[in-house]
Amino acid sequence: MTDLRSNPTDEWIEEVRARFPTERTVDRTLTRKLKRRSQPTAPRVTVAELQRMLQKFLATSITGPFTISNLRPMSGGASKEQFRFELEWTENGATLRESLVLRREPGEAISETDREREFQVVTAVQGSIPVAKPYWVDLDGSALGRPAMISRFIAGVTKPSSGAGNVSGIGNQYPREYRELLAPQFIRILSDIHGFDPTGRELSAFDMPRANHSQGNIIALNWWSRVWYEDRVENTPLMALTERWLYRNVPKIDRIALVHGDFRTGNFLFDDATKKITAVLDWELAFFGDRHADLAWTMFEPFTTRGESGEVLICGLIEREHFLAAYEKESGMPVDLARLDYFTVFMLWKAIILLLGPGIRAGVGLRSHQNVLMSWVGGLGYPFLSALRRMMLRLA
Amino acid sequence: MVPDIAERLTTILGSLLDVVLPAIDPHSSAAQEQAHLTVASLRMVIQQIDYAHAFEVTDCRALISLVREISSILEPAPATPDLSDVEALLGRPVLFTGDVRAANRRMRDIVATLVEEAAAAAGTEQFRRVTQAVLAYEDVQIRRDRAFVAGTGFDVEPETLVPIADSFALTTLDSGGAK
Repeated sequence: MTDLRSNPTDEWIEEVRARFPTERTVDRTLTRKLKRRSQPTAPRVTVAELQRMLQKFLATSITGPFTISNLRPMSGGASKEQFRFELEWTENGATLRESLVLRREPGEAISETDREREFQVVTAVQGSIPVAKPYWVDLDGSALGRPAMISRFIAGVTKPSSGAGNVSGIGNQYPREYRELLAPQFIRILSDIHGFDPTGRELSAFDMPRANHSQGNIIALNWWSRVWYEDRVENTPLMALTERWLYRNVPKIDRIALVHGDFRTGNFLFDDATKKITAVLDWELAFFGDRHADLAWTMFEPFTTRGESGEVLICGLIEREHFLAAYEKESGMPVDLARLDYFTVFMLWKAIILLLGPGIRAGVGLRSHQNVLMSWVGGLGYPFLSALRRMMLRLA
Repeated sequence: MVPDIAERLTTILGSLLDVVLPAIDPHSSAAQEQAHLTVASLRMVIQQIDYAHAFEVTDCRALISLVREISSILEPAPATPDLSDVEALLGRPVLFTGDVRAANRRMRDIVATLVEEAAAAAGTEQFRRVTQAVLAYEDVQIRRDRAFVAGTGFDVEPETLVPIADSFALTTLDSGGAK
C-alpha cells in the first residue's frame, strides 16, 4: 500500500484540506509542503550559490550599488536555515551598513509556516515589541530557492554565558541576578504582545477570529489536527484521545489577542552585561486568538527549571504564582484558570505534534538542514506526553 | 557476531571523538553543534540498541490488550478488529523487528479510530471509560519511552526515570481512573 503521507496524491491532499478547514495562509503553506513532498529533495545549496541568489534578489530590492560580505551559516535555528551577512548599500544618498540575518525555509521543517505571516506580524509589532527589523521577503522562493526573509541582526545571547541548557534554549538556567532583571521584562513583553492593537496594520495574511465565539479556536485546532494527520510517523493513543477531548471542550475566545505561539526561553535575546532583552525571535507561529495559549506554552512543565532552593521556575525565570500575578497586573487582563487548563492541554498536544510529527518526518526524511537535531529534540516529545497524560488524568 | 552492533557503534563513536571532531573548524558553529549532537545521539543509540526488539514486542502485546479493552467498552460493539495476524506474528519462531513495528503502527491507527467512535457516541460514559483505558496504557508506555530517550537530557523528572532494562517490568502506577 502506498504511504500517502510520504507520497501524497492530489486527491489525498484535497481530502485533507476539506477535512481540516483552517486559515487561508496556513492552508496554502501546508498544501505547498505536501505537494513538494513527492518531489525529490533539491540538493543543498552551497554558501557561494546562496550568495549569488542573494545578490540577484537584493538587486531587485535595492536601488544603487551594494556589497554583500561574509555570508555564513549560523548555529541554532531548528526550524529555518539561518545565515548571517554584512550589507553595505546606499539609500537617499547615505551609505548604510547593516549586519543581517537571512532566514530560509529548509526542505521540510519542524514547523511549516508562512513567510508572509511572519514578515507582516514582525513589521506590525515594530515599535511596540523589541524585534529584529525585517527588511525584505521572498514569499515564494523564486529568488532565493525557497521562501525566505531578511532581518536586521540583533546582538545578544539566549542564555547566560556561563549558564547550562539543552538545544533550542530548552532548560536554560538563569542565576538569580539574571532572573531578577529578565523576568519583569519577559512578562511585560508578553503583556504587550497580548495587548497589541492590530487596527490599521497590514496583517492581511491572518484570518481574524471573532470574539465571544469558539470558531477561532476550532480553526486553530484544525490547523494542528491537520499537521498531525499529514505528518505523523505513527499514531499515539493519547494524542488521538486528546484531539477528541479538545474538540468536545472547545471554549469561546473572550478577547482576541495576538499570540506569539512560541514565547519561551531560547526565543528572546538579551544583553549579557545589562540583562536587557534586545529582541523577541521566531514569530512564525503567531496567530490571533486566545492569549491563554501563550500563557500555557510559556508555563510548560518541560520548559521549567529549578531554582537554588528547588523552586520550580517558569521558563527558568519565575515561580508560577508570581508569573500569573505579574502578568495580570502588567496586562490588566485576567487569567482564567479553567481556560488556562484547556490551553495547557491544547499547547502540550500541539508541541508533541511539532516534535513527533513534522520534526521527526523532516529528520528521518533527510529534508531538514538539521536532521540530527530533529531526531534529538524528538526526545522532548516524551516528557511532553507525560505532562499531557497528567493533565488528561486530571481533566478528562 | 563480533563486534556486535553496540560494539561497532562504540568504535565509530571513538573515531568521531578522537579524530573527526577535533578536525572540524572551531569557528563553524553550525558544524560543531551538529557534530556534538551526532556524538550524543550515537551514545543514546548504543544504550537503546540491545532493547529495541523487546520495545516493539512489549508494545505490541500492550496494544493488542488496549484494542480489545476499548472494543469491549463500545456500544454498539464495533466491527471487531481482526488481530489474528498480529497474534500469529508474535508466535513466529523468527520475529523481525520491522514486522512488529509495522503491526504496532497499524494497531495505533485502530486505537485512534476506536477513540473517534467513542467520542462520537451519545453521552459521555463511553468516552470516559475509553479515556481511562488509554491513560492506563500510556502510563506504562510513556515511562518506557522516557527511559529510551533519557539520554537527550530533556526529562524534567529524572528522579522518576528507570533504566531501559527495567522499563519492561513496569506496571501501571495508576489505572487512569479505571476500576
